[in-house]
Amino acid sequence: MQERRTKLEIVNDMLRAIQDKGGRIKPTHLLYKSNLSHNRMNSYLDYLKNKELIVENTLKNKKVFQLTDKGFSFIENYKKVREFSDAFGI
Amino acid sequence: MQVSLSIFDFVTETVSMLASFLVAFMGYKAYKLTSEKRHKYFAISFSVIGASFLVLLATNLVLLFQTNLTNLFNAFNRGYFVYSLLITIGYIVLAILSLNINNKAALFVFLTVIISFILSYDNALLFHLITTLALLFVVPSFFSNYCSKKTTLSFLVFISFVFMLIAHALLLFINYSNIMYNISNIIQLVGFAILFYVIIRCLLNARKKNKTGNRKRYAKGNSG
Repeated sequence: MQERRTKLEIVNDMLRAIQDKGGRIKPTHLLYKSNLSHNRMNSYLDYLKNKELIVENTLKNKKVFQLTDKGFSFIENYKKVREFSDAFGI
Repeated sequence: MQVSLSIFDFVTETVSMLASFLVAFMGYKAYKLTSEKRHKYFAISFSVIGASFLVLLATNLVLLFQTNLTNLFNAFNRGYFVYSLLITIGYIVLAILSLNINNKAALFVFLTVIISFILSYDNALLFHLITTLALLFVVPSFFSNYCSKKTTLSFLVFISFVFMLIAHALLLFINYSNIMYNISNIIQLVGFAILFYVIIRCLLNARKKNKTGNRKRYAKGNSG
């Protein structure tokens, strides 16, 4: 059985999903990619917006979520921290 | 106590200090990202260990320019005491983290060890005994981390702490043979050099992954 993802892993997975889509993603794609229920995804989206890791924009009359510079740097720091905490077990 | 001053001491202390501060810096970055107390205390313990080597390095530099023999011994004793107190604090915090004990018990262990250490001022044997014991509790936790992760870096971290444990354990016998000091120094240098390598590898591995990620990001950006 797969282990439950931590909050930080879910945040990283969501941001990575946006990064993999070229920095912006439609809500339905994000729902599919982040593997969360609709309610949980909405609460995570609020968290990401509050932390200024993503912004909500409109593109051709459709809602999209766009990664901010802070979001990109979160992904970079997460990778470093992940390597580090795996090595030291903390 | 032997007052030995050599280039090798400087190299060992500098490498140990840099490695410790780098680990502390990464621990701090982890804390900033996760806000977990474990990361905070991990960063604090390595900052204190790094500071202890900084004190030792400064003490050795002072000794270089000291000609009066009384002042020389005073400077050495004070510097060595601050170094041993700081490194003991660092290793005790690390041992408490490894043992995963609750806040009150951790505080009790910490205060008991540090107060007894201060009260037995200038007792080198007690210092080496406490640090050896602390590392004896730290090493198994790094071994179990290696067993669960099975990565090269987790293995190297485990090995580096084994080296540090051996280095401190050897110093318990310094009164029987002076060569123990030199062997211990070499082993400590190897231990901290491995730790230094691990941190550099962590940063480089992350950068490699980032480059791959960025290539994807720009490719998508250009096509769309």
